[in-house]
Amino acid sequence: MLKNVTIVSKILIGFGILFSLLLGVSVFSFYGIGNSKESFNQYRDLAKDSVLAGRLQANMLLVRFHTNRFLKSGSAVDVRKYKTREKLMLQFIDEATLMIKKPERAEKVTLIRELVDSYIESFNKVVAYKKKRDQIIYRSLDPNGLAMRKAMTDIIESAYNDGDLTAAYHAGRIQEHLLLARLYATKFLDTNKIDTVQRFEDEIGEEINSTVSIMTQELQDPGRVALFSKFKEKRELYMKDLSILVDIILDRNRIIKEGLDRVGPVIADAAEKIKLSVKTDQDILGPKVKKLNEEIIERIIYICIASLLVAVILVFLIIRAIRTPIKELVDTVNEFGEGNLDTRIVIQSDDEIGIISNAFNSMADQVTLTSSMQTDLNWIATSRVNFEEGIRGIQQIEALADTSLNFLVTTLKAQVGAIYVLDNNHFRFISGYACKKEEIEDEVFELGEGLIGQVAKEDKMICLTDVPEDYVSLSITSSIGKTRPKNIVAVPVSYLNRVLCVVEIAKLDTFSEQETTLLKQIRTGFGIALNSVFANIKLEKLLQESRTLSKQLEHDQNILTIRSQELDRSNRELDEFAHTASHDLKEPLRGIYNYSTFLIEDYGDKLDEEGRHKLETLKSLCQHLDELISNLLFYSRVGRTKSGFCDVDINKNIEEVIETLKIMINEQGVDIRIPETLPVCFCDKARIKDIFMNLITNAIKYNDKTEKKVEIGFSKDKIGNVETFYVRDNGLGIREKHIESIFKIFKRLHGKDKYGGGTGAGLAIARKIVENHGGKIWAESTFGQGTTFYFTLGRSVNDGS
Amino acid sequence: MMVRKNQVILIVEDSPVDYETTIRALKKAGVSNNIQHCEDGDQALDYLFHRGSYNDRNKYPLPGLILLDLNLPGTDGREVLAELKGCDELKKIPVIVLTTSSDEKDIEQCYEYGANSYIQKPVDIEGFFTAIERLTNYWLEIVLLPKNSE
Repeated sequence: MLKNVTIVSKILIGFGILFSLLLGVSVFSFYGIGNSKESFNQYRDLAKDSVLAGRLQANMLLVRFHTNRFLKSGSAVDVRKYKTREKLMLQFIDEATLMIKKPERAEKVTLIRELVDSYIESFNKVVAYKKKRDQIIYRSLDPNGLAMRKAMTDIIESAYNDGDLTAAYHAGRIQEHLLLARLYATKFLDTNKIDTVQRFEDEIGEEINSTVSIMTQELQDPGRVALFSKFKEKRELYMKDLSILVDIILDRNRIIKEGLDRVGPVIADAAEKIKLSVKTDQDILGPKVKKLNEEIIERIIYICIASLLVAVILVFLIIRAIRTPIKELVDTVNEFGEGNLDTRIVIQSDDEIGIISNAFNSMADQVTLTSSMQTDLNWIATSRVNFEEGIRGIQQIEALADTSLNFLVTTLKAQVGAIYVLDNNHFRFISGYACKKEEIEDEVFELGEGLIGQVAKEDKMICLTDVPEDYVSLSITSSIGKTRPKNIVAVPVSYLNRVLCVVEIAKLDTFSEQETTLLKQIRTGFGIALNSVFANIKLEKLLQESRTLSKQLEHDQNILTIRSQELDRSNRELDEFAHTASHDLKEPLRGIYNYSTFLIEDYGDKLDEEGRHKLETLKSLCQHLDELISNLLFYSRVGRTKSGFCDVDINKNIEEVIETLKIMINEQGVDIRIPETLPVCFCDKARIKDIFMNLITNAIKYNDKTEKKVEIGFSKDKIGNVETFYVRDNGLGIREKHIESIFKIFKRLHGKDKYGGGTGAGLAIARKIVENHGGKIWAESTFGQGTTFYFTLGRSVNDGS
Repeated sequence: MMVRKNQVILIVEDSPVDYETTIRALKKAGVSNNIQHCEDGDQALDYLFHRGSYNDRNKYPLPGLILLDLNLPGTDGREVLAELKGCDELKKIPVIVLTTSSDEKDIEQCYEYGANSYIQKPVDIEGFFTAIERLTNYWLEIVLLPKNSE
């Protein structure tokens, strides 16, 4: 029924039905709950009425409670408490009037209001009576009672004093009754009982009336008469006041009884009636509402169950409608995946599954088709890999060609093949399969010559089919004879656009497409291998040349070393010669000098002045020659010895020099400055001292200034390595033309005896020492202003090497 | 204090001029000791070890002081010094080295070999005289030496 309906539509229809059901349930529930709510509101109003009535009842109870307390205590505090309750009562009544609407109950509320009003009126009256009573007691009754007693007491005392015993006796009797009368009055006030009033009247009236009459007649003493008159007056007042009081109290008691004690319970009763009325209503409404609610819930449950059933059935139907075709689809795809490429899906519907099935069937057709192509491609790839594996690592060109050709001819099931390799711009036969060099028509091809040359020139494979009989190239030879192959392929193999060889293969049947593809594909790998072999050959050749050159170089190096050693030895010998020669020269010189001295000593008196002078001159000449030889000797020594290198603190070195020259420095007042601490150098201590000695001596010697200054310091190069030491003076200075020649041995710029004389060997020696250290020495000078000598030692500070 | 005037002074010097100069210097210094002269190293060693023509101990007694030139024909002064200082009997004899070199290194070397003093033979004879005078004075009169060096 639903076959041609799409899955989407099926799902939508299902959801539509489910939604409708849900909506129906919701609407029904909403109305049901609405009805229930109305009943609930009614019930709530009833409850409110009941609560209000309850509050009226309770509060009335409290009003009465405070009333009673007031009646007992009569205190103002209780009046205040009562008033609070009264006010609250009126508020509740107002509220009830407003809220309670049902006529029968509203009527009761009105009644309660009237009753409460009357109650309040009564209470107010009682309060007013209480006030009046208190006034009478405190203002009249109590003072008059006291006055009576006082008057009687005075009479008794006076009579007694005068000896009028009769009068005292009578007065005493009156006093006795009077006290009883007051006692009863007080008792009445306390109990409010009317019989006590009667007893009071008896005691104050009848009981003493006779005695009063007797005393009125018999009393003589004017004082006592006056007192007795006062007594009688007060008795009248007292009696009158008590009579009023009795009226007030009786009236008050009546109000309490009728106005308060009766009305209170009536109010409570009215409130109770309201509550009863409410309860009656509730009893009717309650079950009704309960029944209604139960009905609503029941209906909702039924509807829900029905909806659920419908939904379950619907879902089941939809699932079945979708699942069945999908299962069929999955089964077929699995079968296809397992290798059954012929399996197809039977299409039963036009929905999405139908579309998928259709697409799958098309895909399966395509896969089946490409599968066969893949087999061909696999053959090509495998063959290519095998070919490349086979030729890997072969370093000889012949072996490479043989292996390649062998592989290709067998793989392509050909009968014959040959390879021509690039050799000085032409291609030479190098390897053949089933053909020998001698059988080949042409062993060498120029570029563009023949099939091979053409292929090489174009760098493009050429495939010949149906080769004519007269084509001169490969022929298939067997024991039964020679055959011309029908199909020939010539493949150029190149590397970086340079054709390195051409492979020619021939067979009787045609070359298939995959075979030619294989031939095209092996070209790259073959090209790389060929190039590698070519490069190897070239490298080998270069290596050979390099070895020859290296040997030559080694030979030259040896000669150079020997020469250098010879030169060193020759230099050393020269130095040693100078050393020995100067020693030997000195001996006769000393002889000449010594004998001159002996001559003067021994024969001086026999010679004249001139003779002695000449001998003295001879001596001084000897001394000069000795000095020259000494310097020469020293000069030669500097080069001869190389020991004595260590870390030398140049500061100490210079200190020692200055110490040696102390006398000279002090005599001439030379200002020697060393601006900064000098470094420690790895050098020959004694020789460096010689240099500073010479330079500082020169700086002082060749100086015509009155304030002679010498500064010694050093500087570093940019990397902070080699120091350049300097010794600067403000002396004579050296002319530019002499700045180089001063370092030559025995070179002097001044006369023999000028500036302290000297041999002129000092700077030459200094230069030799410096050069021996691997450094150099030079001077910069401004003639007339001073000279600075610089020297380096060719080693860095503290490097110790 | 020992009086050493009777002790022999051995001068090892190949140069006649230098020998004469030394003699003069000693005389000027007032040294009257008996003086023995050897002209080379081998002779000097023969003398000191009483070998060959020097085997007579009485005629050639051991010297109290040796003045030794370093540059000698044949066995060099340095060798003489080394051998002398290697012998227990002789090593206590003070040796004054006479040489033409003023090089510090040569001087150091001499002291290393065991020389007791060192005098440079200068062309300036006056200095030499003074040096000889002071040194002989020192070694012959001031210094107290062990007995067996006699």
